[in-house]
Parts: sequence; C-alpha cells; structure tokens
Amino acid sequence: MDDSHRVLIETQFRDLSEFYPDLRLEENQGEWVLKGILDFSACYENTKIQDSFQIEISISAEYSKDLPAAKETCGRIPLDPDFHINPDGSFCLGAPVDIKRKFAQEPTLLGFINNLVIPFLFSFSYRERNGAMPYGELSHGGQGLVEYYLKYFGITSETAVLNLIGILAADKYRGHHDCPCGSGQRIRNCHGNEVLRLRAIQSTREFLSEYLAILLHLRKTKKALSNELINQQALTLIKKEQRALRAQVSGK
Amino acid sequence: MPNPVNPYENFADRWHENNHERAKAFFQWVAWARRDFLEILAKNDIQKITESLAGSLGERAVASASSKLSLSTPALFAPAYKKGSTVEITNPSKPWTRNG
Repeated sequence: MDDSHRVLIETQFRDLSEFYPDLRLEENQGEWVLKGILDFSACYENTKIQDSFQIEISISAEYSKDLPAAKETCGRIPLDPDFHINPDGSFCLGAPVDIKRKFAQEPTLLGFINNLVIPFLFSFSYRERNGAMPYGELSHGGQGLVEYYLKYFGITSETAVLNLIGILAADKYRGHHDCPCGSGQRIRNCHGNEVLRLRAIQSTREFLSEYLAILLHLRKTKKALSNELINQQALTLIKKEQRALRAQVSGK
Repeated sequence: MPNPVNPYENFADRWHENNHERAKAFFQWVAWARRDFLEILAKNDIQKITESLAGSLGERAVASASSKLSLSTPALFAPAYKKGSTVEITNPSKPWTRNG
C-alpha cells in the first residue's frame, strides 16, 4: 500500500472527525471504509433539517481520482431507483460531471460529505416530510443526462446535446467547426467554453458511455430522428468502443 | 546569463554551438512553460494543474510539490463552516439514477 495514499486518507479523516465524530475509518487490504452515524443539521433556502443516518462510504485505492461511494445501511432509504439508489446500493448523487465538478471544488472527505452526501440525505428527509424533492431530480439514465446538459448548455434541442457530447466522446474539439447548437456560429464563439470545461472533468471514455446512453434514449423516444442520429460519427464511436472492449478483454 | 545553480558559470557560454542549438531549445522550453502557466490560470482543479505542469517542469518535481501542497496546505481547500454548525446547501446537485 502506498504510504502517501494512507497519509492522505488519515489526514482527511482527522479533519472530518472534528465535525462528524460518530464516523470511524476502517481499512481492509487497501480499501478504506467510513462507517457509522452521520449526524447533521443542514439548511436549504429557508428550510432547516436536523437528521441522522447510518451510512457507509467506501474509498477506493484510486481515491481521490475516483470519488468515494456512499450508501445507507439501516434500510431507511428504499433500494429503489426512484429514490436515486444505484443497483449496488450506493447513492446516485447527481449527473456524473456535476458531482465531479462539485467534488473538485473541495476535494476532501469532509467536502464530499458536506457538499454531496448531506444535500442528498437532506433531500430524502425533506421528501419524507413534505412528499416532494426540495431541489428537483433528474430522470433515470440517458434522459436525465439530457436534462442536465440542456440546462448546462442553456439550449433546448436534445439532438444538439447529443452532438455536443459527441465532440467530447470522440475527443474531436475543433474551434473553427460549426457549433452543434444550430446558432450558425463557430463553436469557439458559441458553446466552446462549456465544452472545454467539461473536457477537463471527465475522460473521453466516460463521455463515450454518456454519449451512448443519450443516443439510446433519443432513439427510443424520437423515431423520426433515427436517420439523422445514426451518423458516421456515432458508428465510428461505437466501433471504437467495441475495439477498446476487445483490447481490454484480450489484455487480461 | 548567470546560472543560479553555479554562480561562477555563464549559463549561455556554449549556446552558439551547433547553429545555436542550445539557445533554441531553451527558448522553446520557455515558450512551453509560459503557455502552460497561462493555461493554468483558467483551471481550478489541482489534479489537472498537476498534469499540465508535469509536461514542462517534470513529473517528479510536480508530483512531490503537489502532494506536499494538499497535505500541508489544507487552507487551500478550507471549509467555510465550523464544528457543530449547520451545513448551508447552495447550488445542490439534482439526484440521478444510472440505469433508466
């Protein structure tokens, strides 16, 4: 086990313990887990909620490149996608680029809990009390990604989202190309900055899997668009993905 | 041009050799380093900054500096709240689910 990794986690845990003394840190063969009671008080707009949850946060050997994963261990939050729980029981805190961006602003265990886990638990508590989500929610899968990116880019066309994410998935940003939003401007004078900001957050592979999720969602919902969508770019991407998978399998 | 590592040496004394080869390499490096520093001004992610600086300053130097930075300068990531206080939720993420 790398010593600097251990020092990093133990240092961050000490800071965390000052705020949340009922969480303990356990190590098992390079995998670290934070376990215990998260007792918090949080405020959103004019609503203040005090609550506590029994949680478990796993920290991989790739932390802090990979984000920790948090789950609730007392059975209070139903293991149901409608409650934003992933198949493995972990919280789905938000759209992937959104949570990575938020984590990067304060890349510590304490930051992860305060900026991501507590807002998630707050919205569950709020929903238990009031029957509604305090700051809304995204749909599942590709549709939720489309909703997130529509707002992020400030556009209304779902096909434009597909093509903007396609640039990132193919790693083919060219400032002089036309912006996919349909403004008729070059991308560098239009949505270029937004695209470049995303490129700094996630890998091409991660954008490729989002691209495919968005593509599948649009094909399901918009039959009329299917010819327009199955373009050369999409086919190249899918072939590239298959090649990468094959290479991965034969490499192991 | 003084050499900071060895003050008795003229850093540029052999720059004219081989058609100014060393001078060219030096100014090329300065241009790269300048470009990297300018690009970094637009970034706020320590990980990305580390990656881009490693290109011109060398991986070892940058890795050792950045690991010291995050351990010894928690103030850089200093939380804005105090023990026992309420977490102010601002600009929260909307929850999502991977499988639709």
